[in-house]
Amino acid sequence: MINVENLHKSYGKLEILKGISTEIKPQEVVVVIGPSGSGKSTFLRCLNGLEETTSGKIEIVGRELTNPKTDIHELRQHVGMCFQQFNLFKHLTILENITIGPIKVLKRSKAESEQIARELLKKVGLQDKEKNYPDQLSGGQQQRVAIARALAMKPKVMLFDEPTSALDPEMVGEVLKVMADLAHEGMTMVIVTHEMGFAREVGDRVIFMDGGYLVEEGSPEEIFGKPKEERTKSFLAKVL
Amino acid sequence: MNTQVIWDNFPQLMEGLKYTVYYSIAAIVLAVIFGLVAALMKLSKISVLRAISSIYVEVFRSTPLLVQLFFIVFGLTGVLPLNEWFGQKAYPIIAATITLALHEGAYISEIIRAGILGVDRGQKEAAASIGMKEFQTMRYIVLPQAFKRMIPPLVNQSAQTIKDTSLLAPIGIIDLVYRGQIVISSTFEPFTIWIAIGVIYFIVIFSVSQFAGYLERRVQLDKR
Repeated sequence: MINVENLHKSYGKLEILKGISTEIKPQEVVVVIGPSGSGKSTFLRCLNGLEETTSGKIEIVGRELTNPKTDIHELRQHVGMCFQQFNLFKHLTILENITIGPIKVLKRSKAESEQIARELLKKVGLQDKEKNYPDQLSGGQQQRVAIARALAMKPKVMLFDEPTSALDPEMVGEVLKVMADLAHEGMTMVIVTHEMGFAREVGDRVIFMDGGYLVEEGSPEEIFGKPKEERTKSFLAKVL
Repeated sequence: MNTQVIWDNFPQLMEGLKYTVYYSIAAIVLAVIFGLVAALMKLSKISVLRAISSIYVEVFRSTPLLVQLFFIVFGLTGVLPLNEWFGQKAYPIIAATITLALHEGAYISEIIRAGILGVDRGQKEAAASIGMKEFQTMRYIVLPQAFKRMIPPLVNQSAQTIKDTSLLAPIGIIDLVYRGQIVISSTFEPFTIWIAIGVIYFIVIFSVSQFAGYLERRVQLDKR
C-alpha cells in the first residue's frame, strides 16, 4: 500500500529526514513514535505530498508520489489525513465540513454526500451536531469530525499526525476509540502519536524514529518488550 | 448665515449627491475586482505576475489621485483618439471611474492580500488533504474566511472612495462638488454652500464609517 525508499527531506541545509525506507501493507496499522524533532511528522506529511521530498521514492495507493507527473490532487483523494489541530473549516457547519470534499472534489450530488456524511457522523457519535460550527465543539468532538471528513472521501489509507496531542486528557479516549474501530474494520493507517498504550494495543507495527532516521521497527511486543537499539531503550525509559 | 439659500438649492445639491453615490458605488465594485486580481497575482507563484501587481500597486499608491485623473482623462487623449472611440461625453466619465477604481484597488489589494495571508495555514493543508486543487482551496476555503475579516477595512476604504470622488469635479465631471460650485456661481453664497456640501459629505461618510465600526465589533464577537 505504501512503499518508501531512501526518503530524504531538507529545509535548506537542515536535514530532517536522512534516508527513510519502509513498506506498509494493506490493512496494516503502523504507529510512528519518537522524540519531538525526530522527523516523524515530516515523514507522515511527505506521504501525501504536504511536504515536498528532497530525494527518494514514495509509492502510495498504487501511485508514484515522487514522480512529478503524478496528479497529486487525485492521489490525495485516496489518502485521508487528520491533523493535530483538527483544521476543520471554520466557516462551514459540521455537515458542510464533511460534504465539501465529496461535492467539490468527487463531484457527488449534495443529497448523496449528505447521506454519507450523516452515516459517518453517526459512526463517530456526533449525529446531533451537524448544524453546529467547529468552534462550538470540544477538541475531541472536532477531531472526530475531522476523521469523518477524511473518511467521506473513502480513502484507502489514513494518516494521523498526533491526533490527540492537542486534546484535554479526558477527550483522548473518545478519539482513540474511533481510531481503534477504524483499525478493526481493516483500514490501512499510519499514526504519529505519543499514546504508547494505544500503539501497543492497536498497532500491528511500531516504527521508532530519532534524529531523522528510522532507528528500529517491529511488532509492539518487540519494540516495547525487548528493543534492540540503545536509543529506543532510552526513549522508552523516559516515556513509559 | 443665509440658510434659506440651502433649501432653495437643495434639489440641485441632491442631484449632485446622486452622481457622487453612483460613481462611488461603481468605483468600489470595480476596485474590489481590481484589488482581488492584484492580490491573487501578488500571491502567485509566477514572478512576472507578482512584478506586474507590485508595479501597479506602487504606482497608484505613490502618485496623487488628481494627477492620475488628469493624466488618464486629458493626458492619454493627447496621444490616443479615446474621445472618438468612447464618445466625447462618455470617455471622461468612464475613464475617471476606472482611474478612481484603479487607485482604490491598489489599496484594496493590500487589504485582500493581508486577509488571505491571515487565514490559518492549517485550513489550506486540510483542503489539500481532501484533494482540493489550489483554486478550489482559494474559492471555497480561504476567500470565504478572508472576506469576513476584510469587510471592516473594505468598508473603511469605501468611505475613503466617497471622499475621493470629490476629485472628479476638477476634471469636469458632475458630482456634489461640481453642482455646489454651480449653485455658488448663481447665488454668491460660498460660505453657506460649502458648509452645506461639507455637511452632506459628513452625513454620508460618517454613516459608512459607523457601519464599518459596527461590522468590526460583530466580526470580533463572532468567533467563527
